[in-house]
Amino acid sequence: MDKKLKNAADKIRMPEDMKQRIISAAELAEKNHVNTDNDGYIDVVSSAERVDPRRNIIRTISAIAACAVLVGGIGTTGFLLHRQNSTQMSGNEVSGTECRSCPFGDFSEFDYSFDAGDGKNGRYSAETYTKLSDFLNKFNWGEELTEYETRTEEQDAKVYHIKWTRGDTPPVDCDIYISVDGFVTYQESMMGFESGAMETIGSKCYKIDLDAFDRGVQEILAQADAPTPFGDFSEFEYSLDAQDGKFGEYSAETYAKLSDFLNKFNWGEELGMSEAENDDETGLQDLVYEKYTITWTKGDTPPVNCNIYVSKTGYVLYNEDIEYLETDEDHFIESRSYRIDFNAFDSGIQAIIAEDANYVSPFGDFSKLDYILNANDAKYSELSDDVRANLSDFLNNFNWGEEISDDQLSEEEKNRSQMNLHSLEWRSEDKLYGLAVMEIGYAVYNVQKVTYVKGYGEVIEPESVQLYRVDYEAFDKGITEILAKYKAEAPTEAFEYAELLFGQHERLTPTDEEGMAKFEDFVRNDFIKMLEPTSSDDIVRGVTYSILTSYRLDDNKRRQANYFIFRDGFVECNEYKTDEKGEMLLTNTEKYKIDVDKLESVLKDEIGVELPEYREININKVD
Amino acid sequence: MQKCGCAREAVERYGDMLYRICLLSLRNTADAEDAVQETFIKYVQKSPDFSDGEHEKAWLITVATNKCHDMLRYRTRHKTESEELLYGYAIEKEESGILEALMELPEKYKTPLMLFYIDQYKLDEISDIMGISLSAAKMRLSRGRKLLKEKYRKEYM
Repeated sequence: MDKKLKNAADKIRMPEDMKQRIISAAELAEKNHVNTDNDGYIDVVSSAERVDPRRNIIRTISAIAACAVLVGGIGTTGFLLHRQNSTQMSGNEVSGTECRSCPFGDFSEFDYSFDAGDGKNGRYSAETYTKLSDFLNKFNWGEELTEYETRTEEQDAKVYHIKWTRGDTPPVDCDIYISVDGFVTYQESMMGFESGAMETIGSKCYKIDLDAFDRGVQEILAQADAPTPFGDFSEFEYSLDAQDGKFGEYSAETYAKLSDFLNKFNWGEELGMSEAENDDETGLQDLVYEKYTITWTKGDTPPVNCNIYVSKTGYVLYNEDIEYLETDEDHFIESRSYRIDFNAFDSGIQAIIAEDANYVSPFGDFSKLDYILNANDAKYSELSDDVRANLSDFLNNFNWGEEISDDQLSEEEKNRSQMNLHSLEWRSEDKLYGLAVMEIGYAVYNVQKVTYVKGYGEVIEPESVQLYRVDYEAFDKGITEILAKYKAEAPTEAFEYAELLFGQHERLTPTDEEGMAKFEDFVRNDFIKMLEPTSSDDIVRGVTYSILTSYRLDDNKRRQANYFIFRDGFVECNEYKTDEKGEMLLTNTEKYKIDVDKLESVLKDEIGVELPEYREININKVD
Repeated sequence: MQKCGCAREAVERYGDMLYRICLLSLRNTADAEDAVQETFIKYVQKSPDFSDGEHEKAWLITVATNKCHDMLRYRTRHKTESEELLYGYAIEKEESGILEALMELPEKYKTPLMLFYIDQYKLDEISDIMGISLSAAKMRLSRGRKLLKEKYRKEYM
């Protein structure tokens, strides 16, 4: 298969025309490539130097815009722009002179991002943007400054940044920067045809009453807004997949708790562009370790798919895309990344979903499995319903951790054979399942396939083995606490087996499995009730039947009760127990009477034991 | 240290290999072309220093697989062309089945399989290229191989 794979794949070669296209594109990029400094930023393009009065700002704008080209490649500059309520690049041409009250156009007519430096990067609701548009349109921006005032360093410390894109052939990026002294810079830039870098094509300056502007904006923002950069989780329907096999199928109550947690969680600041650049390589690698995915849909014309990917490294990627039904293609419209405290996130989410009523373990819902527990070699097959319910609940909610590979086990762990363990066994129609939790701190989940082969019976073959890193002490403590209750309330012994003998040697068995189960049930219940104590020693005939029973005791010892039933109904019961040396000692003898005919009738008619022929003749004789 | 060569030379040398990886990963010719093109653009723009040819090759594979990963993530339901995808590559009908089975595997298993069986990388090199631990690479390769075998036998044999 391996050679076939290589031979077939080696025949895949890039078509010649495609190769030429790629060479041309790469050579063009090589030709247009301007010097890149160590940070991955492109040095400012020379044309910007011509706009003298705002050199510092221009340099910043150009560097940011050029970086955008690097991050997403040609055509992906739009990744960095927030498209408020938009699904496509704005195609509306807005003339700066069309609106009398506002020198930049009518803000309600185009999609812009309003960054108030509050860490939300302009992610406000549509309602907030409506209010902002109204405010910006009515605000007195004053007259354009014809002679630029002396610039100071403080003026470059921007308080507000408003940005949008105008037109699309080619698109023009428009930016308004408002600095601490109320100095407003409006900048238009577009990608240079030759350099591929953003070049400033025009600018205007204004001076505003910053206090008035600030007051108005803060008043609007104070009434807003979403508690997280993704919105208010309690206000939309999302699915959280914690890779626990539930695929987000939690109860509404759990989702309410999750929403509260997600809304209060510290998502931190959006990663800057330089970090995003690095994340092109490292962040996406991080997503290989993706642990949580939160998905939802917003809007409907067309619907926007929103996804949050959280990796174990703490890297968070949020993206939005639109699926166009006509073409069945997705169009990516926004991407943001964050770094969070993964441990805090993970423990918070796990604590919530662990309490979910629908939660089950990676091995299935133990409350629905007919399992046998071996706790450090003591078998607990006869658990009361209460204890079993407690145990199943514990097993379902235990933190089974992550699956690990055997390479992740140390040599000591692999080689250690003598250790305490708890194990569980159960089976389905064609499979045997075993789960052993080892003292050394890992669990082995073993699945075996059972096939019935005529003439051989059941053939068992190994199917899969999975390892999980678990906290044995926590498991042991939980199991011990539950079993302590079991020992206090439930019988102190567990039934092991029962055998029926004709005389004292010839084994009699029911004709089918069901009969065997009935027989064991009969021995433990109705048979005991049929026995009547007697003091008579008058044995007139020999032993007709023997019933041997065995029970395992809590202290890992055994008790056997052997009943010898004589022809005239006399029953002798000899009881044995394991002594300290592990030997069976006769501890008690009891005498009973039983109705043999009634016993034989149950054995024959209800349980399905084929009694020896002559005995049936005897029965007839008795009758 | 070795400086990255010119665009034409790099495309001639590594183009087929990267195209194969991207095509099998993305299952779409146009997307594969985009991914390869963006990889080479990044190659000439970044102009990294490489210790040797293997380092250069591994760098290109890492960038290309990241691009594919990126594209799959952003366009999870984009059109695939599995039906016609392998036409025109002189692949025998009986050989195409295994490639089709490979293409249907989850990305996390597909990449190590391609690197191991097609590009003949060793496990430690795969773990470096994919930025995952050696044991994770081993496990993915082992599971991927098992899945491929099952899928191939079930659907193409």
